[in-house]
Amino acid sequence: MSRLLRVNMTDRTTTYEEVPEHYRHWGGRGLTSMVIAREVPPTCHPLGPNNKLVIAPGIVSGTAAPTSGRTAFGGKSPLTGTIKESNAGGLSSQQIARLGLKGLVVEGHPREAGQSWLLKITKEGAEFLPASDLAGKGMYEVCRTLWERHGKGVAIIGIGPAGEHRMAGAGICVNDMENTAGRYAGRGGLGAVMGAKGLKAIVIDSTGGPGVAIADDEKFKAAIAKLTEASLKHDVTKKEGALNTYGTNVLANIMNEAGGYPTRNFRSGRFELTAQISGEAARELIGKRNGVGRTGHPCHNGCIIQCSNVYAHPDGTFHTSVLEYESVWALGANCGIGSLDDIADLVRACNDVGLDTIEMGGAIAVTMEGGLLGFGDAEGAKRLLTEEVRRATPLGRIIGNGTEFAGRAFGVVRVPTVKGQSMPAYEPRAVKGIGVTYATTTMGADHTAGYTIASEILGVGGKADPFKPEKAELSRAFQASTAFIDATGYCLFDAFAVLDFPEGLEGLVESCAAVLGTRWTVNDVTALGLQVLKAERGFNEAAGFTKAHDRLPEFMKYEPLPPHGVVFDVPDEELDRVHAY
Amino acid sequence: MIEVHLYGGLRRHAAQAGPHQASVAWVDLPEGTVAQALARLGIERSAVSNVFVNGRYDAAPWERRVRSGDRVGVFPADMRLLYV
Repeated sequence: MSRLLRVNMTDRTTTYEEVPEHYRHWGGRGLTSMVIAREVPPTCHPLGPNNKLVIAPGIVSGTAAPTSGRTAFGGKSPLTGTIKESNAGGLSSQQIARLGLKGLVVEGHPREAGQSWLLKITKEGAEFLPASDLAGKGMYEVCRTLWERHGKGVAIIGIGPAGEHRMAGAGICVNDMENTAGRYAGRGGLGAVMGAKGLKAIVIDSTGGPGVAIADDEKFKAAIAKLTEASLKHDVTKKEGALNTYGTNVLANIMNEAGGYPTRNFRSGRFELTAQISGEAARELIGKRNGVGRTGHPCHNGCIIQCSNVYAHPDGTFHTSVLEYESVWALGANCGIGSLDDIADLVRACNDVGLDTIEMGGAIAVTMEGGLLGFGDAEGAKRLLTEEVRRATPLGRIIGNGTEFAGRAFGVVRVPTVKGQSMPAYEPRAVKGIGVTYATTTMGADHTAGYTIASEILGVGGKADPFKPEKAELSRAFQASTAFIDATGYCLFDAFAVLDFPEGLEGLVESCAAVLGTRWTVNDVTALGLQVLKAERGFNEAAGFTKAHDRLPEFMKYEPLPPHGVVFDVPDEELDRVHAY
Repeated sequence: MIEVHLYGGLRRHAAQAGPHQASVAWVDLPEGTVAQALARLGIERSAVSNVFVNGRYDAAPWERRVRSGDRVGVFPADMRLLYV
């Protein structure tokens, strides 16, 4: 029977408790959102004593289920003021689960300011260790130091200086199999919540742990066989398929061709230098440099998709991991920067300082728009991250607090945010359905919350015309099924196979049911997902959010986007239909 | 002239075949179908996954009429992000 670990930062105590019935069937985002909705006052200050940071592996994480190493992080977001869940790959999910833990609930607030603690969790229990010597350190050094002290292979969850300075663009880092600080639960400023609690890092060593209890082992094995087969035959997720070969950044050329690749702070849907920052170009460079770089790289043991990469310097030595679609776009096209080496420097800076790459790309782009530096000024952008944000100067705090904060500081009108969160790499004027998701998700602008691109551009799971505004049902269906997948621990990329092959979805649902001992079938997915969405919507409404917040920024309604010359023309009534259930 | 933007392994049909710049082939065809334009370049259907015409994805592109000035984007089979 798995347990919850309560971590009290006020008096630095830890308590193991049996999982209450109302949380028993949840994992991942399902668990983080249910705990936040039930235990956190919606009007609390996100950096104050009443917010909680919930960390949860998914339902099947830690088992032999393929590609199931996602860790969900939840809390009230200092960026959006809404409920927040952001998840990452890396080592933490499997190790938390294998210690017999359903999740961690970090609560309370240090009595004195400037505290920096490390929490270590092993099969023996949990203990606090002083971490003042790690305070202010970047995540690359933190990861290296913690493997030296606690053993190679331990999972690390940590924050960089941005989180310690409680910036709303700060993410939470998870190490990967090479101990690179490259896996981020980036979105929504949860790094600042961890920083406010005085928790610099968590080390998890699952050696000798009890493992994950599976209620029906035979059913489980049959289910993961079905899912594995579907994943290995789908063109997107199979070996030497698009994700495995080129990484997620295969999308750069595709979205650019579709005219939906936001460029220079969302002024255009096409970037003239896309080719040289694309997944194709990265793959060729990595091969040519013939060093430690590689594509088809897994972010955790047991991933069969392996969409990650390791990017190398011209001399073949390690530069950064990972150059994925969103990061390359945010710190590349959106800032008018067209060099992969420059973008790799910026990604590495974000990963070390502890920042969300999407939010920082957005913040730098509006700062460029505001005239502090020019579009395409890669050296200027690097200085902002490494000299200003890292040192928490006043300018650094403006950037580090995200796109909306920076836009306000520089008097910019073209600020591409929803509920305070910066938009990712899909232009909602050219791809309406993703705009409906941005507007209406409980998370603020977030493509992963309802990835209609799969149908609108990629033709997965049925086809939808990206220019048609009738997208309420499509977005709702994606938001609900995503909320379920986010609870399972499976990577969202499993969804490609799941959307197109019935046996894939059966395998995904039945493997969860087999672990939990429930009777869930594919017919329950939408209802389960809607339960999560309802809990999240309830929290947001109580925090003061109304349908007036379920809108895109005004400029997208009157400023036509090249090359298609389109505005966002989805009527407000259509947006309001998404959550009319 | 029809402007054909090629990606992945299909770039070899353009004068500039590397991935670091746009690989564009110009087809001297005043008007015709996508199939005809790609046939002029020696590109077989089986080598193609998704096709965009003037930045719009077309699920059934082969008989689609294109004329001089149109832009056609063609992705190869190993970038197949489409299940058809």
